[in-house]
Amino acid sequence: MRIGIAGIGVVGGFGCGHPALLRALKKGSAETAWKTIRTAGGDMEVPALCADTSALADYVPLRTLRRNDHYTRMALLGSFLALEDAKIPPGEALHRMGIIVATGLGSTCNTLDFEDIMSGKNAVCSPTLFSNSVHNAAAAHISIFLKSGGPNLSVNQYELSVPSAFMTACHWLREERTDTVLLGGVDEFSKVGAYYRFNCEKSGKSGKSSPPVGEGCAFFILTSDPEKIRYGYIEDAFAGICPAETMEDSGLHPLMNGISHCSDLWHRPPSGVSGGLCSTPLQEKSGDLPHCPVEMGENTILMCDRETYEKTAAASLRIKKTARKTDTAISCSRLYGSLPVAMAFDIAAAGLIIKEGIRNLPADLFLHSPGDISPAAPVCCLKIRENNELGFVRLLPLHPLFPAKKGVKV
Amino acid sequence: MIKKAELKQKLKVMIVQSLNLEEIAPEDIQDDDVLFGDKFGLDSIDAVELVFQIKEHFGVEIKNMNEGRPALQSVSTLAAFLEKRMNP
Repeated sequence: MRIGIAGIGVVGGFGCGHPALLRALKKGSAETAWKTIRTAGGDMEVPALCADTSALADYVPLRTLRRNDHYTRMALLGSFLALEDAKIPPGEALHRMGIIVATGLGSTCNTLDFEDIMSGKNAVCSPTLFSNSVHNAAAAHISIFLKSGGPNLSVNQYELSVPSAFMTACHWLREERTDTVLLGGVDEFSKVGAYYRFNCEKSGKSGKSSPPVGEGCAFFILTSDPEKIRYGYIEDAFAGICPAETMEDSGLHPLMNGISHCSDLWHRPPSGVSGGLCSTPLQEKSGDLPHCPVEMGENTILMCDRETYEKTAAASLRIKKTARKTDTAISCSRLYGSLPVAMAFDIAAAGLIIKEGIRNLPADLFLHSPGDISPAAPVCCLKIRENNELGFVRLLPLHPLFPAKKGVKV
Repeated sequence: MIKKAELKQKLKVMIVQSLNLEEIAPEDIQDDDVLFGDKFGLDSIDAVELVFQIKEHFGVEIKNMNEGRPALQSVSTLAAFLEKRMNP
């Protein structure tokens, strides 16, 4: 079974809808706004890439949204856009559609406001604020608005929430629990994150090239129906911890090795591997996995933030040489800002590159020497955290070179 | 002392803003309109929200349903209740 992306719905600092993301991708930038945050030391102006959800009025009457906060509204708008893009009409029976919402911070702003009230020892608190202060509020409201009767899940694994959600979605589809999955990553502008970033930059602790704090959502319609897949196949998805000693067995660096061995991890978790959702692989691979080299070679596009790229580049000289000289490495962070579910936007950008057959991008988006993008290239969206935690989602283009056969080795 | 007309206007703005009545302007609310009727579509959660907002804005606590039910009938009844509690 091949699983792929049938629709994309995005909202962020670059605008609303995938045409806006495509424009930003071609331009190589998005317009940064300034946001005022209240601190103990007075108001502070911080750069931000914020999302506008006013287009939600095109889908539902505003009065029905009055109890939904900004976080939930972003998720709802992303969901409607993805459904529309996948040509799933509103009101269609959605009892066979699963919903997964990945978030790094959840409705943090509301939760913090709510905690302020509680710590102020107020006997009464806002019921609306309370109901929006839980992380699964967005997923629940999506189900309510869509009248969906399928499984509903909120995934909260900070920066690995998105690859973890993709793993689960693929399992649902493979197990035929659902026919389609509406999967999205959502994060709201974090006042705490912006405050921290502001102070780091003031004290020179972070580079000036760091993208501003962002917010928004990227939603996808995942399906196994080949007629509906338009943005590429999902070859692999993984989120978990790969201890160095486990991966060094094959003589390769643990972080990069994980990229080509993820299916093996699902199939036969090595001892010491924890995290992630070890289960049956998406794609049965041949028995030569222990010898399978790290194939991030000439024909793979790596999409990640600069921090992750530096980790991969520093991982080993061999990888560094390969990555810097032959691979295409792209960071689109400047289009949507810094946020825990950034990988969802990377996957949306990768889907657009695949669907539109984009060959050239602005030089500013490349993490090393810019060059043409191969139309047949797989795209690996990667996030590496501390302690060998990594997550990735790897997309294959809709190309005759990649038919629906088993064991495709790139 | 806050004038009654001013108090009513403040209440209307508070209702619209705190309950996110995006398609209703404060001017659309008449003094004697029934708040929890068909016109505005408010429900019991809105009643609790209003109790919270009244405490936040005016420092007046509505302690139970016996107080709340008559006070929350309309903007006029709410203004009268607040006047009484703020100027005993």
